[in-house]
Amino acid sequence: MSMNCPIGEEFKQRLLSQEKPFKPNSADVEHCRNCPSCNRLLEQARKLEKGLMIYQEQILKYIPPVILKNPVEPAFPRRLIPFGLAALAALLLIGGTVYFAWFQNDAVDERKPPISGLSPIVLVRLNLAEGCLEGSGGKVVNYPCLISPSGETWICRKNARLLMPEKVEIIPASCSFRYTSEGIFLKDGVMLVHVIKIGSPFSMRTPQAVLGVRGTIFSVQVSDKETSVKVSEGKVWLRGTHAAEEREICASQSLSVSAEGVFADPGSYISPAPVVSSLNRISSISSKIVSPRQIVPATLAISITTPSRDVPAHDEAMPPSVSSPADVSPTTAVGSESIEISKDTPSVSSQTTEARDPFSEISP
Amino acid sequence: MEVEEKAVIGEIKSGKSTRFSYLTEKYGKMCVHFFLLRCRCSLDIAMDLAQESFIRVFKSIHGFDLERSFKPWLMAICRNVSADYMKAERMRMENIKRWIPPFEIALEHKVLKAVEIQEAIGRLPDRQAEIVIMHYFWDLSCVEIGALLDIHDGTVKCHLHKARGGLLEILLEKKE
Repeated sequence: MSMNCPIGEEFKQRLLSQEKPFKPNSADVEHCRNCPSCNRLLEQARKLEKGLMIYQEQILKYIPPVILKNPVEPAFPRRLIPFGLAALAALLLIGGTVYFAWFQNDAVDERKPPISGLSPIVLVRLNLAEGCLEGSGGKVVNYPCLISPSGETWICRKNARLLMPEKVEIIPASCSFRYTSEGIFLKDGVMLVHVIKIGSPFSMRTPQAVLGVRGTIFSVQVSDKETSVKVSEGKVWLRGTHAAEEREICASQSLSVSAEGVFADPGSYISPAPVVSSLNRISSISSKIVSPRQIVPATLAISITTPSRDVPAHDEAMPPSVSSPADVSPTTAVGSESIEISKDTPSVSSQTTEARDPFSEISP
Repeated sequence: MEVEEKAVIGEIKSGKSTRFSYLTEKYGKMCVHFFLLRCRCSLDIAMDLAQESFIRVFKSIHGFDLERSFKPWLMAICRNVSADYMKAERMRMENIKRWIPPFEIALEHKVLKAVEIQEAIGRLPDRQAEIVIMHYFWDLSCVEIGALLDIHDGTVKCHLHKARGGLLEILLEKKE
């Protein structure tokens, strides 16, 4: 570039330092008309700017568009990391607590060996019309129950034990009973009852008799005409429904009474100590394996039926005055592992396998 | 910053990540061109670097101030990415096959190849080359460039003056 022009260097400085686009002022334009060197500089600067602008437009046409190949998620704000960690720790704590409180109980349940002699399944069906178990807070404590979607049918193991709110444990066997806050009303059948010591006396009624019990293990057997009681531990006071006379039955004794208050002679009933020990053993096991899923709400009426069974050994020692219920054969061992009872057909579809009396099953 | 661009960035910040394609469509090619000029690399590498840049944008856009202009912020990220690349690949940059734009520019009685412009910019000192790219191809003002490079805008103009003089000398005067 020629430096003959006195303002050439200053013009060049002023021209090339300004932002695009070049906008020379009128004085510079006038100067450039009369100064070839400055005019040439201006033209070249304009040409350069034009070339760069064209280049910018053209080059973008040859560049492919950018498409993010890997979808990325927004980064978690760092300031929230401590809160996130705290929330995660709390979640783990709660989850762990729930896991150990809930599922581990089931795991314990599965690890426990089954009690010898128990048949695997008995079908228990709620019978809302006839209503046999009332109250609230009852639990099936020793085995899980399957409850049908309708809630009417429960499937649980034979000898499922029911724990009532007043700390009364029941092993119903082919019986129909009603449980209320006032006590148990056994309509018919056989039942083994374990009354844990409570503050107030616990009473039990049958069609023929009234029983007063406290801290006791005993079995009750109701037939058409009389009620038979066998006491394994503690004492039971027995009287006829329509009579005032009351008799005390001590451990290892049995007694039967009719509705009119006629007592049969007490037999030489030998306390089945194994029954008591087994019951206590089951209690200790069941107290560990109760889980929320095993809780059976007893707010609805329940009819419980178990398969027929063979007779316990200690029934042979029962005095003649004590009558066995009709469905209990003293000699035969006819029963089923599973039994289904519906509303319409009150008994039974069975698979014939060996089944045993719940009382004898508890015994080793 | 345009109102639409501001709204889109606001949506992205609020979690609507699908709107991010608006930014890649608008600025993707400019980023690729920047890397082609600054890193003198192949088109594939420039595309990868642009990807990396937008991933960084995506990760840190929650901290972007909507009152500021987006383009200088994106340029700053691209500069960091290019610096990282050149630092890592400086030993191999000579062997990388450059992308050559396949077109020419007709300027009155002169024809300039696009690659000549690229080479001319590449021969400028780094600071001047950066300023030419920012000013001509990213449309950033001298004030914005000064803020981005942390220098006075008068200094930017000085660099711009020298860069233009250099380009005039390389592209036009020597040819004539």
